[in-house]
Amino acid sequence: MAAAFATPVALAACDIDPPRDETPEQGESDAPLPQDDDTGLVATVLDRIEETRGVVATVASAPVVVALASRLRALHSAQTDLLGEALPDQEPKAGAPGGETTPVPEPGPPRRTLLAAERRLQRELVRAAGQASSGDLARVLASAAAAVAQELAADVPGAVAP
Amino acid sequence: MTPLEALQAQLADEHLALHLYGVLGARTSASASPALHQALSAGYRQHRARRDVLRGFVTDAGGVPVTAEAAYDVPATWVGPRRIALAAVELENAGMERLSALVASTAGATREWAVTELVWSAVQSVALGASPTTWPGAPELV
Repeated sequence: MAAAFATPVALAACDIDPPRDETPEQGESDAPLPQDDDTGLVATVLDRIEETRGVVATVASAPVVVALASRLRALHSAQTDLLGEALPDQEPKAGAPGGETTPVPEPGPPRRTLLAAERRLQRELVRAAGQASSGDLARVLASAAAAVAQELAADVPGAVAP
Repeated sequence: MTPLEALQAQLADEHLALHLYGVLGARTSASASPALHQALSAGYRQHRARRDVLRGFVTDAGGVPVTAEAAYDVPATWVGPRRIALAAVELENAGMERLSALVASTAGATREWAVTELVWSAVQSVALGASPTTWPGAPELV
């Protein structure tokens, strides 16, 4: 039983063959460095995360979403930090120092607005994971999508009490 | 690890998951712990469907699907709603790591399927009482 749970760790650590060519040397880097084909994809994902952060910032003070918004801001910050490492030469966006983003005005109740933006981001992350040339990048993007889904699920009552 | 090896490893994992979900569900009262029983039932259905899909993927990749073990060791201490929920969370966490490896080692429809299943398991772990994490299926990124 213990062995059954232990095997995925070994699997995750093994040399995974990306589905296409241009395989980086093993041990060269742990970061999800994109292949050339993926640079635009990562930039697009980062733009989408920034848009979503803007929506979160817009509604964050509403009591009905304040806790969820706080968690999502931390999550998106971590996602931006990791994916940003994949684009080391990218200049910070004007008007967005320190991770602050320009709010994107969206009509509607705060909770609905927030959930809609996060679901859009989740779909974008899933789509990007499917398109990435790098297997390692696909894994990061898939995990990011799963993290968004977890936060939204945690905000819905009905889970088994821990 | 080749894509076929990753698929076979995932299929073996699903055989185990299906067995464990069955045992955990049998040890859970639907009336005393309805939310847990419902989550375990959903997990059983999902992993059964995964097993069937994976068999197809392995066959399509030219392999012979691995079969389930004759028996799996299920700790006798896995009793009571809290321990059973924790065991199911551990099961899903291990599955997420396997699925994220499958995402990395495949492309096209197989990868898209693995991404969808990874997201499902992430949500399932929360339904079972786990807290959200920053990198589900890729804990080394934290």
